[in-house]
Amino acid sequence: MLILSFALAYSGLAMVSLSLQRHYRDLRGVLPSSAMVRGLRLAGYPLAMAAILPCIAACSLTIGIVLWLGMLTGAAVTLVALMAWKPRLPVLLGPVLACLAGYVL
Amino acid sequence: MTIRPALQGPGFRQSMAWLHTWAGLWFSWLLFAIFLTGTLAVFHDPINHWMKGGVSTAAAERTIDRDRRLALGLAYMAREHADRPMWEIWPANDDEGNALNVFWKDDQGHYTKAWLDPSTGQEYKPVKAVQMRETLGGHLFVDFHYRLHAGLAGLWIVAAATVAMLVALVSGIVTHKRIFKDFFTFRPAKGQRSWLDGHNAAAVLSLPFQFMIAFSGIAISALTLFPAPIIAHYGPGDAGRAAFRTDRLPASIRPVASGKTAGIPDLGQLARRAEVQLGQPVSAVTIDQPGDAAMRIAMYGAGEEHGARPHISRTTGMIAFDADSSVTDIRRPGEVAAGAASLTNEILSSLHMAGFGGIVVKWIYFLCGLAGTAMMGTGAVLFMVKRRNRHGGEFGAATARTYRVIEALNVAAITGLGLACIGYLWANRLIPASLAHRELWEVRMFFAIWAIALAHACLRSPLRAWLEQLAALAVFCLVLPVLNLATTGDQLVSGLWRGDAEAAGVELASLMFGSGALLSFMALRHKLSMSPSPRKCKTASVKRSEVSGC
Repeated sequence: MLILSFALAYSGLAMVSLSLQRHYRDLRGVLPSSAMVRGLRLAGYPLAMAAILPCIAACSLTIGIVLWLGMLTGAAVTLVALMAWKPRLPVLLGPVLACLAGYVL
Repeated sequence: MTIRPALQGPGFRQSMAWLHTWAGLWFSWLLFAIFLTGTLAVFHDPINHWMKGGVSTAAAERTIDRDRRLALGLAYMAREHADRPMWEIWPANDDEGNALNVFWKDDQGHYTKAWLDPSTGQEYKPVKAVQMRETLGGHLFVDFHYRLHAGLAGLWIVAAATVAMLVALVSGIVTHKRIFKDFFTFRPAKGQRSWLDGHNAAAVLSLPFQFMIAFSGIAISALTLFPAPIIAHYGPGDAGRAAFRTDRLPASIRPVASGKTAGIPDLGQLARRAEVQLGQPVSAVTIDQPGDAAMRIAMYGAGEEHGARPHISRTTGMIAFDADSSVTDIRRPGEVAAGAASLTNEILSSLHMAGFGGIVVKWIYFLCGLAGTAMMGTGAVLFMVKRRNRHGGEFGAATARTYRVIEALNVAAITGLGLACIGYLWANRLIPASLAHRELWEVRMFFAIWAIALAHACLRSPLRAWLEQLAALAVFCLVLPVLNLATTGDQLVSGLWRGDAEAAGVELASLMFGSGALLSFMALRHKLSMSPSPRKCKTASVKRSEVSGC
């Protein structure tokens, strides 16, 4: 359940990070179009928000909120560390985590 | 978070930057210590366990006849301590391997404990495992964290530092112009730029945690730090505080003996009723004025497995019966007796101390705590890295000397404290188990090592000091499991093998910190070997932008 939350938070934040020019350019070599930026943000933020649901399901509402903030922090730190060392890797990690979460569920 | 144009005058961001730099720097060393010890304090129980040494004693009994144990406890108290106004029975104390314990207050008012054999009800003295060491254990980290091992004065200093932290957090956010654009940015191996990126990343990514931990930390001590409301409502001094306490905890008012006798009702039956009402198993029974008509029998619930409780507040359920077995008072798990403000205080305390969510939350707090510690450490180092490149002249003629002091304090606060913490664990294993007051000696070693690190940092040049202390830190952390093997014969692998996650965890964490110190040492040595010999920061002309931080 918490792995699912981490996967959602990670994928969401990865999309949001790609919507920023600097990180998109690191990955693709070109600047993102405004449609791409909007699309990534429109997909990324809700995913990161949705990560709260498995947390609440795992515990209670109050503890779920706290856990969700922790997941966001953990996912963000993982993302930042990976992007600093190997810009392509974080994008691959998203689907891997999603599969892992699906398997665990 | 956007700053509205009206506030964005030419001086505002600069003045916030000034505030952030100086409020941050002067408290950075103290806050680093508070944060590092606080982060270690998350796992103070495992650290205790490792420091006491030895494997745990008898395995906990599985089958427990609760009714019989309550009856035996009651019989023992009626036999031996019939005149005491308060009896307490723990039918299965899981802190002591499900032992049957009874408690009362002796003539001096001290809480006294006895072990009873669950099959016969006779008292016996438990045998202490030979390898157990007298130690303050992880509690030193807790005590240092919230009051610097210095009583009430320490509490006030920590509170002041926490306010400074909140000031630094807010001013840092205001100053961080590109906070959204740079949210995920970290550029390694770029010198001062990397230190700033690291400082920002550590702070911004764990920001909710930082605000929560600072604010809740002060909130825990609110009544000590803000005594005026109690004085205004309840009067000054101890009398006022006592009156406040009874108002807040009505259950602490003990019933007065009426003089009429009454039989004690069947505890087993009351316990079953309690469990139905509270939804928790009964862990403790207290009887005030036993044998009197005014007696009160309170049954306390045991929280479920730490991680499974659905609320943040840590209070367990309590239900009180009188001599006629009717319910006089009930507190459901998670509630408090005295209203919303009291509940808020309890929740803030529990939030600060990770009193919920089990091992997952503990690890989240540990990692966020390390992030906060990194935030302060990188901030302090960044201050000097920047000024090694470009002399700031903030202190006029005394600038160079002040910078030298700050450099020394940086080393002593960061690697020095690290050495003190690992040295504390080394002292635990090296000081003989039989020495009287050995726990005092362990604490003395903690502070002594820290003082030596400070002296070392003052005597050696800054970069040499960093190198040497990082090397020492790496060695002491990495060799800890070997030390454990040499002194107790126990070590990491056998700990893991027998499922002792706590002791193994302590050693694994030590290995990780040691690896971190080793990598830092190697990076700094690499940097020093690549650049010309370090110069004092008086001349700013040499461009050192390709030099990475230590």
